[in-house]
Amino acid sequence: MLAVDVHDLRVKYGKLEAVKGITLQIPPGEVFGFIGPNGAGKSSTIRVLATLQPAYEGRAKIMDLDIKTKPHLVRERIGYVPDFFGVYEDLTAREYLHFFAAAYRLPVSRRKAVVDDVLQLTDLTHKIDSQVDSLSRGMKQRLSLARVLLHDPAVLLLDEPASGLDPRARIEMRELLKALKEMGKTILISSHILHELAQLCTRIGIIETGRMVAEGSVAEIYQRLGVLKIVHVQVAQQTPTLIASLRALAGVTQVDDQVDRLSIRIEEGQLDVEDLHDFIHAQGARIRMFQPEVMDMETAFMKLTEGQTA
Amino acid sequence: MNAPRFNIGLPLLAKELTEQSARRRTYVIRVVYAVALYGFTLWTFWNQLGSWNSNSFAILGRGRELFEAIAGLQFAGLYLFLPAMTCGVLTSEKERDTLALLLLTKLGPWTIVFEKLLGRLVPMWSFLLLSMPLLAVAYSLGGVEVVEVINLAWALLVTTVQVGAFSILCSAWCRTTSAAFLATYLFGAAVILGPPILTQGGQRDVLGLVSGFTLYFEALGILVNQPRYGGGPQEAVFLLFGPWLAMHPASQWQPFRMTVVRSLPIICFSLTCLFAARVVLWRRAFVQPSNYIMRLFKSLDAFFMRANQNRWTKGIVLIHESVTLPDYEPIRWRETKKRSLGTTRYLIRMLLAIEVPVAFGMLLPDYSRDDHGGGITAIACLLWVIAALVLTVQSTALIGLERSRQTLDVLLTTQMSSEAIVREKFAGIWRMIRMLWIPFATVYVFRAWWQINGRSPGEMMFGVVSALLAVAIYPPLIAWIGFHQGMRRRSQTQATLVTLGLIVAWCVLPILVSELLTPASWSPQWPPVARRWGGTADFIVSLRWLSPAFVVSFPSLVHHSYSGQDGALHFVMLAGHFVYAGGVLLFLRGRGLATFAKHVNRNDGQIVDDDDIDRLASIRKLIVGSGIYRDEKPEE
Repeated sequence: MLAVDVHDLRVKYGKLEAVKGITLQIPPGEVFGFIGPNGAGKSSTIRVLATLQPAYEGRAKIMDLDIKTKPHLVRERIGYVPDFFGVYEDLTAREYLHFFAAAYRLPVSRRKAVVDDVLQLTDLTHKIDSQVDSLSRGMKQRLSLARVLLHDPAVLLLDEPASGLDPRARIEMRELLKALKEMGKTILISSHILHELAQLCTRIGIIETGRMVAEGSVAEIYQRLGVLKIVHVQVAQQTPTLIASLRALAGVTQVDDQVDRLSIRIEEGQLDVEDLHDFIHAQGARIRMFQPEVMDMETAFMKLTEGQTA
Repeated sequence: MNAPRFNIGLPLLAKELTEQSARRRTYVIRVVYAVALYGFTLWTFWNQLGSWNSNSFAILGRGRELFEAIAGLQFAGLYLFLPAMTCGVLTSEKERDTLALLLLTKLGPWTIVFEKLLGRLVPMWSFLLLSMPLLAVAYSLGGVEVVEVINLAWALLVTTVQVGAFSILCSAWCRTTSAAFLATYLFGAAVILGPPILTQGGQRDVLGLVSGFTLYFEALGILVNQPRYGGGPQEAVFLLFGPWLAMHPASQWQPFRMTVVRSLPIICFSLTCLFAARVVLWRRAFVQPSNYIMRLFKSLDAFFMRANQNRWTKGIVLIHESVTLPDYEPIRWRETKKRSLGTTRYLIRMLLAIEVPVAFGMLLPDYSRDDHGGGITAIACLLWVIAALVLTVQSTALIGLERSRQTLDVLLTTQMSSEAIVREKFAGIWRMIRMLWIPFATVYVFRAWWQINGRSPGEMMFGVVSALLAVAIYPPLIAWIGFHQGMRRRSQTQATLVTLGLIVAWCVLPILVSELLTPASWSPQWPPVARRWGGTADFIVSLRWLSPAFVVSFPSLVHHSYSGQDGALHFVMLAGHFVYAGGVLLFLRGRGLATFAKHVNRNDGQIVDDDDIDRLASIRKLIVGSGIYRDEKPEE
């Protein structure tokens, strides 16, 4: 049984097609990162899964329950954190959580214990009687997470939960999500904080203009994007012959002669970085610097997407 | 070096006009206005033809009636539409946080105020230009001099500037469009009605203020129907009233320069408003939003706290509101325990704030007995206005506030059904309605008491039944209209304005249509459909029974005999009105419950297979069996 099963999902807002046939399968216990530029269709996809977008085409299931026909059962199994706080600011943290405990139909006898547990998990026990209005942004976001944990859902749908938080709050949020991951929750999280997703997610999907452009584990994505790698080289006796021989080497696609270095683009499958090093050395050049470019998630993201929206 | 070029640019005006031209509603309103203007004029013309059908030449020289009808309609349209069009020009910039950007440009405050004003006056002038062909027809019929047409054009011009300038001042002062809307209409009415009321009030006692209204309506009577009124009220109190310039009997054939001189007070008033708008534009550009209801309540809180600290009550607390947590109906709990207007304490304070003045008014015997209960009707009308305002604001906020605070989505992903969400949301509204029943009961019981010796049992019965049904049906009806608008509109301000507009239209339009269509003399030129109604105008007259305002005020409007044929007819009309009002209430309630999920984009789905039904039944059985829940109802 898949925790999230989306097949050929299409969402239209009037003439605008925001999601154009996304297919996605997330097994239980996985943390799936959803990456994409603004307007790519991430929130629309998550809103479909959160039963907040009745008009869509394709198949969408949560824990084998069809969202279109059984939304009331789906809501028992999901916890949705939108990309805004969604908190009643005239309540205290205790009242807020008891409010949603009642809305999630939690038995009265269990509520106090559950509220205490989620407050402890989110490290907000000391703020239990504080007005929600007085909490910091990070605390409000943790309170939102505490809310969705009240009914112990199997799947968490988190739409950019770290947006607008300061670095400390982001780290706290990341640690909290790691704890939830260890508890076996299936998490679908969208974010722009790409390197944080890399540390947390077991798989990521990159979405642009309503289409999934890449999907797989972080290592797989790196491997796929590593097709073109840049190596920066500085040699003592740089000659035109050396540059010509490098350009002729199989696996080298481009050699840029820059002011202080050579930037060599190689195809990773055809030429290893170590072999390139040996080749330059064999040409009699004395190597001062040999630096393969480290590609982070931002670079991967930029390579895969063109910044277009649906 | 090139000499600096004198460059006239009106970027803000260009932007305003471009924005308006891109909106569909601009053209819809223009077409509706034109249809109403031309339809009404044709109707008037048709009436004239009908009256003089024996001799077609008799119409010649009778263009004055048509001219006055067109002028009256143009002034009515101007006073009705222009404030609504203009009051949001600066507040909308404040609400979108774009006024600061505008102030940082090289456009000075004067430029901003003038270009914003022109941006609304240009469309209004286009509305006024629509009547030019009609005025030409009136002129060609004879009876109207050229100078009168010029005087009318001048009066309309200065009145548009006056109304526009006043509206823009309110817009510069207020923080939100809804506040500017209310301020423009309320203070605008005070500017027009104020001088006659104050004049009369100074001459008599406090209750004599009402005669100021009489003076105003007498003035309107002179404008509309000159022969019936021989003399006129003092002109000085109508210095700021545009129609007085062009339509007063004394203004006929007055030279244009005289009209210009008489319009100087209006011009001075307009310039003062513009200057004040320019001054407050900067000063109130960054004013923070203020919750007027909360401020009012805090003031009331402080007042009652002070009043309670005396040697007799010694700060006694009658109602202790204990801090509780929600049980099984969380939204009901929040609406009745946590929202300011839902809590018992505030409701009691609000009740006192309304009930005390109402009871005081009822105990003024001269006032209450005046004009067969006219004073009571005035208080009742005021109470209805307050009730409509409070219920509209509360009901549009039910979904509007959840949306603006971004809490709607998280609520919709809980396991509560859509119907339960709506029903629980209405809990606070119902409390409010029950509170409002008390001052209404005070008014209507007092009315029955004052009239016990003066009226027949039939009249008494009519008054009591109409009051009971009105109080039972209208408040929830207003709340459901507000709820629908709150659900459909993006902002609460928009929902509130539309709801109030609908209520006013419902109250006024049936009476207006009935008044306009009622013929002075029945003629064979009337449409066959109307003639079939017994050959009388009863059908058209009975249209006014569609208006709640007419039904509410009817028992006091006319000193009727409620016996015989008339009495029976009035009871039938009353029953018919409440059957249809009750039907509308039930329809809106049903639609509200059924379409809530659709309007808030919630996937409600359907239970499609037996597994689901069995599963839900087993969950219910488990819950009920555990003793925690009793079939989704709270434990006693």
